[in-house]
Amino acid sequence: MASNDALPRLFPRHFRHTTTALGVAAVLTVALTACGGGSGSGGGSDTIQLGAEASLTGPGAAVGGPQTNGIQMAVDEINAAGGVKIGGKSVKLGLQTLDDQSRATLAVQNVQKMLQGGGSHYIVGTLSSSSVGAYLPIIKDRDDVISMVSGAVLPGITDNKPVYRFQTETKQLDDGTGNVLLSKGAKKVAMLTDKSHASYVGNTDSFVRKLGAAGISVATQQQYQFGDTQYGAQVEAMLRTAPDALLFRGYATDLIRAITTARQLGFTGPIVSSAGYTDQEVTDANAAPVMHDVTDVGSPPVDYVASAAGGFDATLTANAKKFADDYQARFHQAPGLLSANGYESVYLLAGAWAKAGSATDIPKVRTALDGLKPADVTANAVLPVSGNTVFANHQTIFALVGLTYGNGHWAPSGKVDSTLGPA
Amino acid sequence: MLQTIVVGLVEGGVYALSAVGLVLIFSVAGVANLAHGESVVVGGLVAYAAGTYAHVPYVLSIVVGAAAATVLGLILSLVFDRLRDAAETGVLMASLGLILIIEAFGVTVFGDEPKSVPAAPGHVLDLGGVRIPAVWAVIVVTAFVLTGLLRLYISASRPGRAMRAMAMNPYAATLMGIARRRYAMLAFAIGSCVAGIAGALLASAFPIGATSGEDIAFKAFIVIIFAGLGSIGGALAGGLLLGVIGAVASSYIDSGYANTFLFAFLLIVIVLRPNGLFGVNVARD
Amino acid sequence: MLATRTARSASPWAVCAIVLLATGLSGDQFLLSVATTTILWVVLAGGLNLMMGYGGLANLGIGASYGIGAYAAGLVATRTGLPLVAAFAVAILAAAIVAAVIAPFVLRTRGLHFAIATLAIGIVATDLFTNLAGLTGGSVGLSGISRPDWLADPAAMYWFAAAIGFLLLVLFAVYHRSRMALVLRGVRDDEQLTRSLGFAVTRYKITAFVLGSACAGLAGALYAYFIQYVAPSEFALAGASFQAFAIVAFGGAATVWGPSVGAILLTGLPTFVDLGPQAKMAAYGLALLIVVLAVPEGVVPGAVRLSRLLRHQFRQRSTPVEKTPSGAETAPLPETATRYRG
Repeated sequence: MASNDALPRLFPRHFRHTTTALGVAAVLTVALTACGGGSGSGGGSDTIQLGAEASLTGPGAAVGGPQTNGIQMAVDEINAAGGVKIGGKSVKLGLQTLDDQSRATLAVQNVQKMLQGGGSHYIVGTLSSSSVGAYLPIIKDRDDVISMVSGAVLPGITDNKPVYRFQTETKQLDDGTGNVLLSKGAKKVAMLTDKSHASYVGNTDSFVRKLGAAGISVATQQQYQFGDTQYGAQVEAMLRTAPDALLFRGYATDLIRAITTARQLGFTGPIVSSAGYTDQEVTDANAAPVMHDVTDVGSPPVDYVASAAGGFDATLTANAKKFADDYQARFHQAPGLLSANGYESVYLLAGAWAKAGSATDIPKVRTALDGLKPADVTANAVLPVSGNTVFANHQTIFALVGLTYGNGHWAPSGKVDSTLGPA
Repeated sequence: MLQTIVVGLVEGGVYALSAVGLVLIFSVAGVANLAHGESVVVGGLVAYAAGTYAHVPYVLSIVVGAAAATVLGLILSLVFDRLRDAAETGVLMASLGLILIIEAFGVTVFGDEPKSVPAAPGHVLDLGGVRIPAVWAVIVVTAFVLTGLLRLYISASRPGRAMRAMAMNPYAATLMGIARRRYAMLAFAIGSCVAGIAGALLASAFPIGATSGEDIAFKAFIVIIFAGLGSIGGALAGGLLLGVIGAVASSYIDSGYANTFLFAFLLIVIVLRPNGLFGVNVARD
Repeated sequence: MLATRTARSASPWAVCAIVLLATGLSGDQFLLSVATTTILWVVLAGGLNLMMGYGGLANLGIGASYGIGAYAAGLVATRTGLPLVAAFAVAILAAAIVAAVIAPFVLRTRGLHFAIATLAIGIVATDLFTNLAGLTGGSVGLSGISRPDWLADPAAMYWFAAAIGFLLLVLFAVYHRSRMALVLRGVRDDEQLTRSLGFAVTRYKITAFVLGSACAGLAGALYAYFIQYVAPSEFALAGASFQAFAIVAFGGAATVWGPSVGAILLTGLPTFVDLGPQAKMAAYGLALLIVVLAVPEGVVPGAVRLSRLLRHQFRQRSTPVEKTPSGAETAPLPETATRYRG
């Protein structure tokens, strides 16, 4: 039996033509690799190793990328400046960025990878609630880990000793939107919530009760799924209740679609949300004409802090300006809130290490974080924090502002109280 | 209620436009092309790019989007042609692979954020309190017009008749001297082109992102299975019906179960009528 | 000759045991977590293989059974004081019962219709997991699933999963040689013919569907105890069903080792590959495409065929006299999916 007879059976005859096509595809993949960029940067025995739990693909990718960019920028800045001064010695940072695709199993694997090799451990980033929910059981009783969350707002995680969160809690945002509704004189509102957004969903019941106590009734609660393209059915159901105002809770890109639909279906009243829209997102969706009377509640955006109009501390303003410019230069887009949160969260750790005089004694670093004052990190802060310490019970309280859109930009229209009704 | 039906019709119009192309590909080329949603997305994103970066007029941006989707359709047909003897699982796996590759490119080129085709008509018609944004009307009208044209082409033209013969009996069609491969490619090109138009229109009304394709493909598959494989008119009717049912149910019952309504309805139909609502007698399986 | 054949069929078991032991003994936490995850996929995809591989039932909604198992185990663990065994039993039973209830309906459909019908079931299940917040915790999820003391350590969790995985592989091998698998293959290749031979085809299909779903329920219970947190996104189409489907088709349907090899190559290996996120996704897609074009029946049958081919050539070269009758050895071999044993 001739052996070359046998070969076509292993690979179907047409395979050879296919190889050409596959070759092309392979070349394209290599090209992608070049664009995609690597994931690690630096590292060595004298460095403090940070692990970024990042959502770079999957459902959280649109917001996970900017967050990771912010973290990477802070690490690079610190290293370019010679490292962090700890006890008179300069120590550089290493950063390992691992994509979890917002998936629990990958989040667990990533954290195990970060924890490899003993010593002290710092997890930064963490966008997805299901990621933090999944890796929490691994770290919650450990004294050699700190998780500095700058994304996921899953309720209750800050009750665990390793977890600190430098990100506005949903409870505060919801309460803030409630206060905006009060200021607009709304008595009856219709609510739309992203049902896959754990923290909004988790806070819904108590928020609705609070609204009721404040004299605002919720006429209907509609839901959508992150990434939906059409919102007509929900918005129509909301408008049928003839509400004074619409209350939208979810991610910016989805809500822009919902706002567009609401305006197209004839709603002219106030719309309130806490999505953290960027200017670009509105432009991409051609949504500028429908953004009138939309108030978005959140911590002040970077470009506002950077502007003189913000009236913030001069150092903070200068930092924010530098950060926004550098970010724009490096990533060709304006930084959003998640980039700023990610960026500053690294500096918070640096501040705590300097204060504790150690990065390896985690309990000591935790004490330093607990007592960290805004003044301790002013040199690098980009976001205004309210309160005497940066963290109160592991959670940062941000000064909230209401933002409105006009002339292609989101700009603050006033301060917003982050507690609704009696505390 | 009327307003909800309008909402449902535009959702259904999008389903129908993606389903019409899919049904053509499925009948003629015999391929369950789960990557069909990518043609919709490519159509939308390329139309966005043409409008935003090349500043071409609105209608031309749709044409550019459709052309890009047609090219993608031809590429897909080349891949699937290699799989003509493969089992259904092989076709599904190849589709999954293609979806991942195309999405990865889409995200690399366009980013994750949803995009909208610029310069789409922005005004809203008001018919006695029922509001119909102009782009929505365009979607529904286009669905009817394209389906009509496609049916005309299939029944009256020579290539159309050849494709019909292939849909009825591919083996006999080949024996009668029909160039199977060429017509399969043609079906892919036309189906993908229609999908590209759907994508450009969809992205005019509702911004779409590089990863929206899977969801669109699922919905298109529900429509063609629900309506009965092999019927282009059925795909239009099925798409519109499904859109209206979905919109009314989620608007009046519970929007948390929006997907459940659609898929539960599909399940009921295919369990009771395996050939679909408007099904032809010959089921392909 | 017999001895070499026995050695040949025993060798994958030896390799499997060695790999499992070596991984466990390495004590590397990261490796253990990757391996435990891979075993989850082996169990899930193995379950899918029982129906899809042998019976041609391409279930695109296996994530529903996976999720039912995970939530059932999670609920038993958090809401009752019952031990782990009970949680596993409830998880497996729940998935099996739900499957048994829907099987007679969805199995009225075949081929692509079946695939889309099960896809619909998967989507409905995700909707239910998200919306039935009172039971599942909605998107906030179910947390606080604690492991018993003997399972608290990640290494212990790994050994536990590995033992279950190995045991299941043995059961898969038994199934592979069973009469049932034979009938199901008949159903897959020609349902009418099999029915006309007097086999109760529907009953076989229902059994395969329920067995596979029960297996997915078991994977869910393992997941609940491994991750200790259960949220809906993990059981969605992209997250679970498609991945399981790809593992089976990639590794080799209707083989004992296909799902394992598929799981290692598609879920284990990528964690060690350092590529940009988008490139990784494209590479994954490309891998699926290459396999489907080059070795349509999957990696394992492809590898078996390759090794037979090499052996055949080697034998020819060393003993040219002992030739098989022309064509006998080479002709119908490619039906490897059905002929490949254990």
